This record gives sequence, C-alpha cells and structure tokens, in this order.
Amino acid sequence: MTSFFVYFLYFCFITIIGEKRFMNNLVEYIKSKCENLDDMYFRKLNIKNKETWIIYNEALVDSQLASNFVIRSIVEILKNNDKEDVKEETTLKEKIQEKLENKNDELNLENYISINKIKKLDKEKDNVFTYLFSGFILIIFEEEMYVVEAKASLSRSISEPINENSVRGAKDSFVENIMINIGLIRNRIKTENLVYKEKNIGTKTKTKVGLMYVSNIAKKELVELVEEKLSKIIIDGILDINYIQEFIEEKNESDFPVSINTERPDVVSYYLLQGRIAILVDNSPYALVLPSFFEDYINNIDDLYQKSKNVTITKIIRYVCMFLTVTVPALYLALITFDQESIPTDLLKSFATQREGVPFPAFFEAAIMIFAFEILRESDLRSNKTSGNTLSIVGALILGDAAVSAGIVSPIMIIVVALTMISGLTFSDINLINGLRKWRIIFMLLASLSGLVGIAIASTLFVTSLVSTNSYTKSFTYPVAPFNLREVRNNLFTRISISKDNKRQKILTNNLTKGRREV
Amino acid sequence: MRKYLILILLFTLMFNGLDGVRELTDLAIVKAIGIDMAEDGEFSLSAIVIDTAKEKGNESGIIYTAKGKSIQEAARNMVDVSPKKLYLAHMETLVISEEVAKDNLENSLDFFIRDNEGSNSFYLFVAKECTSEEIINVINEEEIDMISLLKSTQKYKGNANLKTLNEILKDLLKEGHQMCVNSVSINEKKVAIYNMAYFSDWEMKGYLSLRDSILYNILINEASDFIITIGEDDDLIVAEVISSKNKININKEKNNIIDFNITFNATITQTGKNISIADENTKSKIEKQFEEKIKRDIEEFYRQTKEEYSVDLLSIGNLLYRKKSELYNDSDYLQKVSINVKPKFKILSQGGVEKIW
Repeated sequence: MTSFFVYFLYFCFITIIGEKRFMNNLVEYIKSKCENLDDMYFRKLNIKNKETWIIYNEALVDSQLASNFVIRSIVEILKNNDKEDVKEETTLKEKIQEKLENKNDELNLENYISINKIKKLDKEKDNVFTYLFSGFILIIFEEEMYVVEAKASLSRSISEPINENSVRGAKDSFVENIMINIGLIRNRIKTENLVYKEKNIGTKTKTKVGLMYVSNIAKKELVELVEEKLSKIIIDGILDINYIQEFIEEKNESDFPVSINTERPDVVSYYLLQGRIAILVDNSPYALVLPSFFEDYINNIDDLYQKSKNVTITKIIRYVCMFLTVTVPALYLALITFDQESIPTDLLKSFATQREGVPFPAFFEAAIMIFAFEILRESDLRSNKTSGNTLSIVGALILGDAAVSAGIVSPIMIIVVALTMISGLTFSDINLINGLRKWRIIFMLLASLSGLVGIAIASTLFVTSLVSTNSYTKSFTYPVAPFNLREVRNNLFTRISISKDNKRQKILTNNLTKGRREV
Repeated sequence: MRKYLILILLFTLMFNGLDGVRELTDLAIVKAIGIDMAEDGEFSLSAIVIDTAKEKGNESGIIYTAKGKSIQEAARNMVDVSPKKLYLAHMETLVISEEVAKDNLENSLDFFIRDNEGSNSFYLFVAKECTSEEIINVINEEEIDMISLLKSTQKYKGNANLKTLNEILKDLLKEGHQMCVNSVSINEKKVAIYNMAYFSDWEMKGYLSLRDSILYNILINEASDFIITIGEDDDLIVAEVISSKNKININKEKNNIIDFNITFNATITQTGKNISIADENTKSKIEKQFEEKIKRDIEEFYRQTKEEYSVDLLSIGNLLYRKKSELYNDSDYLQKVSINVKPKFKILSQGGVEKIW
C-alpha cells in the first residue's frame, strides 16, 4: 500500500506540479515517513540549482563507502557538469541520458559511481523503503531514482561450529549473512548446476530465503513441492530458519525432525550431492536440509573423514546410545518394581541395599532426577557463559553427591540418569534430543504401570510412530522400511569405502552414477 | 473418539499391571531357608534374609524363625518377626533336616513347587547329623556362599552335583527314577559338603560313600572333574578325569543286560617311582588298569544298590520303561537284569619333564 501511495503521489507531482516539486515532495514524503527514524541520513547537494538528494540509513550503510564512492563521485559529476555546463551548456540529465543511449544500458551510472551494484528504480514497481532498509543508498536527482548498494558489514566472521563438533572435518560454520553462507557452499561445489533461488518472505522483515539444490541430481518433484510450500508462506516476519521449517512441515505431527538443521557447510554440501535440497535463511546461521531419514541422525559427517572399517563400532555405539537414552530409566523401573526375578541375585542385593532408606517410590525417584537434570540442562543452555561453570559445579554437587548423602535418591539412580543423559548427548540435533526425551517419559510411565509388558507396549508405539513419520513424501525409516539392501549394507551399521560407493540413492535422485561426466 | 477408546482400553490393560507392583524396599529377599520338624510335629522354618540396611562389605543377613502346621503357615507366621514380606524368587539354598527328608519331604517341597513367586532354581541339601537351623546359622555367621561352595565341590571332587530343585523334580516325574540329594554337615564351625544322600520314593534311606557318590554322578553325567587312583606307594598312579560321558542302553543281543558305555578323558597327575609311561604300550596298559578298576567299582556299586539298598539309582527302570516296558511292569525288575560295564579310558597327556637329548 505504501508503495502505491508513493507512486500515486509521484504521478500526481510529475504530471501536475512538475519535476522539481515532485522531487522535493518525494523527499518530504520520505522524510515524513522517517520522522521518528533518527538513523536516516538526508543530504542535499545543491549546485547551480540542481538538487541531488542522497538518502540512506546510517546503521545499514557503510559510511566510508557512502562518502568515498557515492558522495564524492556525485560531487565530481556535478563539478564536471558545472564545467561542461559552462562550455557546452548541457544538463546533467542530458549527459547521463547520452551515456545511457550510447551503451543501451540502464546501469550506466556505474561509469560515475565506482560501486558494483547500482540500479535505476522503476517508479511504479519498486518500493524505496525496501532498498533503504536493505543497506542501499538512494540517490534522487531530477526525476530519476538510483539505488547503490553500500551495505555495512554487520555479520560476524566465520568461526568454528558450536554444536556440531568434528574431529577431523572442516572447521568453518555458517554465519548470519546468507551470502557468506552461500559462498561457503559454492566454495565446495563449483558447478553451474548448483542452483540458488532467492525469495523475500515476510511482509515486515523481507527476509531473504534461499533454496539450493544441484539441478541435475535433485528430483524435480521434490524441488517443486518445496517451492510451492515456500510460496504459500504468509507471515510478517521470518527471524530464524525454524519459521520456514514449521511452515513447510505444517502437516508433520511426528516427534522426530524430518529435516536436518546443520551449521556446517560441508554437511550441506554432502547432502546436496546426494540430491537433497537445502534452504538458507538470512540472519540464521543454520541451514535446513530435506528430506531426512532416521539414519541421518545416527550417521555423522565425521564418519566420512575417518577410516571406514573402524566406523562400524562407532555407529553401533550410537545405536546403543539411542536405545539406552530412551529405555534405561524404564528398564530400571520395570526391573526393580515388577520383575525382580530377572535381576541377578547379587545385583538385586546391591539395588536393595541402595534403595533402603529412600523415601520415594522408584518411579517418583526417577522422575525427580530426570526433571532435575532437565532443569540443569535448560539453565546451562540459557545462562550466560560466565556463570556456566558455577552452575555446573552446583548442579553436579546437588544432583550427585548431596542428593545421595541426604538419602533423597539412591546412587544407582544417579548412574541410571547419568547413563541416560550422556547417551542422549551423543546426538547433536536438538529436535531429535527433545523428541527422544518425550519418548523416554512415555516409556517410563508405561513401565511404571506394568513393567516389562509396559515397555513392550511403549516399544510398539515408538516403532509405530517412527514408521508413520513422513519426510517430504519419503519414508522416515528408509532404508529399513522401505527396505533397501544396498543402503542397509553400505551405510546402516557399517560404512562402505568411499572409493566403492559409486552409486547414489534411488530414493533421492534419478541420477544414480556418481562422478559421471556431466553433459 | 476411536483414538480415545484405544487409549482407554490400553490404560485399563496397563493399570491392571499395577497389581504386580512390588517396591524393592518392601521385599525381604530370602537367601536361604532351612526346614526342621519341631517336637510338637509342626514345621519349623528358619530363613536368612538379606540385610539391606547394612553397610557394604558385611554379607551376613538376618535370621527369622517361625513355626506352623504347614510350610505356608510358618512362612506367614514369619511376618510377626519380619517387617517385610518374604520374597523367595532369589533363594539359593534350601536345607532340610534328616527328619524332614525321611518323613515329610513331599509335603514340605510342595509349598516351593506351588508358590508362584519362587523360581525353584535353588539347591536342595540334606543336613547331615544336625538340624537345618544350625546349618542356616553357620551359613549366615560365616557368610558362606553356598553356590560357590557347591560348584567347586562338584567341579574338583565330584561327590556333589548341580541339580536344582526344578531339575530334581523333573527327574522324579520320570518313571523308574530315584533321586540323590547333596548333603551338608558342620565341620569345625564351617559348612562342608558331604556325600550324596539317596532316596527311595520321597524317603531318604541313607548316604552313599565318597566313591559311590562320584560314581553316581559319573553315571548320571553330572561329574565334570574328579580323581581316580590305582596302585599304592611306588606303583601309585593318579589320574585326573577331565571329562566323562555315559551312555546307557539295552544290550542288542540279550534283553536283560544293560550296557554302560562310559568314556573318560584324563591326564596323569602323579605317579610312583616304579611307573614310567614312556611308550604307547605302557600307556595302553595303564589305561587297561584304569578301565578294570572302574568296571570293578561300578559293578560293586551296582551290586550294593541292588542288594543292600534295593533302590534303582542307575535309572535302569527309566530305560526299561522307555524301551522294554514289559520288563519294567515286573516290580522285581532290578533282580532280573544284569549290567555290562564297558569303560573306555583315554590318557590325553602324562605331563612331566621331557628328556631332550
């Protein structure tokens, strides 16, 4: 609406009141809109009655660029113009018009302004404010509007990944600037087939949302599906990649994440080469990769950077961790409250000795400890880094030693909870960790109601939930269900040597052969 | 709606399970039980309960005793002295006095068979020449691990076997089978495994000798490691049998002869100075000697069971029941059959220092 109003005003002025008054009025209009924005910068260059306005937002524009390359250039044009004016009596407008005609190029102002990105605004289509708040300098002279990009560098530098550690892999991670992120990926995949499609989403934030895929690997249906879903998003603001995720996964009611959140460009590149699609959002240091399978959360990119034969044990450990983090408290509860016969006598004796004097039922005891640990984790995540150490010491003391010596919990429960939580931290995806946490509680509840039978019922529900999860029309439990022998053999528990893994996965791409010369 | 219905059904099923909740702190985990007959004809029960309130390192538990007309009644009367309910699933040892073994075994074991909590995988002992309460007291005071004790005896001496009550009862259900039970006695304030006690139709008759206990375990394939000695002083040969296997069958030619094909693998562990096993000839001679000794011993043992005890300890009745039932139906079958022992003794190594030049 605003832009329409601007153009309406513009047309009124240009037809009725005339050129000069239009310019003053447009400037006045922008000024009135920016009345409370003290970070807007207005400068009038007035030489021989020829007004030129330079308008930009001081916070978004690099003032060095603005003064060195824009203002100075314009001043020089005007000065030259003054001299020429004396000699040849041509106007600045004519001179530029001349230049434009000469090269048949709209962007010919770059001859005068030594900044790469310069655009002549279309009075009917473009909204000046979008450019003003994207770090452009608006130049108004006579009836023309030009925008020159002079963004201040508001992004931090590339640093090491915070959540996804790697032993041997690349140490760079995404930052908040989408262009740097794209650069990090393009740095790895140097082909014209790596498509990047940008879109501004959010009526207020106008956030850049980019879709990336390798055009001759990714499946067209999937790309169309995602593009369609992106085009349907209606929202005032996109602040994080999760906003996009929730829009495009609106029908997903599973507890498990169906797309991978990663902060590592090498991970994104790896998945792009498999035929998956990445979504990047400006101001979010995470990329979204889809579709994803359960297997992807067990596998780690680091496996690819290590000797393939030795990865098997690592992978088995991760599966065991997945099992442990969900079932250990439930198994413990089932065994000590229902099925004491199943515990070896000496162990039962040890359990009984430790439980002696604990005033709570076993379920309540376990619930207290797990809740306490979740509090510790949450406070550790939210607290500032300086108080983090104090917090962990206090937490460890309270949870560990003091609770046991006070007789509130038994030492074995500390072991159970510690094992559960440590196993859970094997996985880096926060959505997966939270999903598993929910299932841990379900398992515990059912186990406390009917012991091992309860665990059996909970397992059935767990598997049902896993299998019914759908990741962008693909089954989440691939390659187990639907069964794919090659993928199971190559990647489920072991990792085949990269030199022998010369086929892509059929579920993700129609272009199966790796390394084929691209036509 | 259907979703909620399923949930309700599921939870009805689940809450049903709450019936079986047993908090660990409410259980008195029983380690061992002893059964005696009191003077007034009632059963007297003494149980070792694991003491969970104790510090680590001290293994001894608490002993509760109670009396009752039945084992069940006595177990319930124990609640008077014990704050927790007896939990029998982890019981390791059941000791019965000779009195119980002679008169009331069937009546008292019935409780342990029927109680659904117990797993019946505990070992049964007869208390020799003392009451089972005394044995229980010594086990508790000296913190004796009865299972380890039994296992080491079975493994290195051979006069005890590792049949749990369940296995004994399963054997008893077979036709023509008699049981032998391990026994314990008190020896200088320690519990010692004694020879096997033999039974005839739920009634204890007496104890086997050490040699017979080993032979019995060999014949039922329960012995794993034992020692056989032949000769004396300078002609002494001691062999440690590593494995033995007995196959019992009816002779193909004569129906009333039972074949015992027993194979032994052994190593020579000690010899007198007159013995030298340098070549194959002497080795096979010595093997022959062992075979003869074993044959003599088993025939002697058989004669004893047949004539003195008149109990069918070698499970001949069971074999006949399976293969020659017309012979088994004769109540006097033991007198009508004879046995043919065919031992096969093999010396695997004779040890010693090798002469190298």
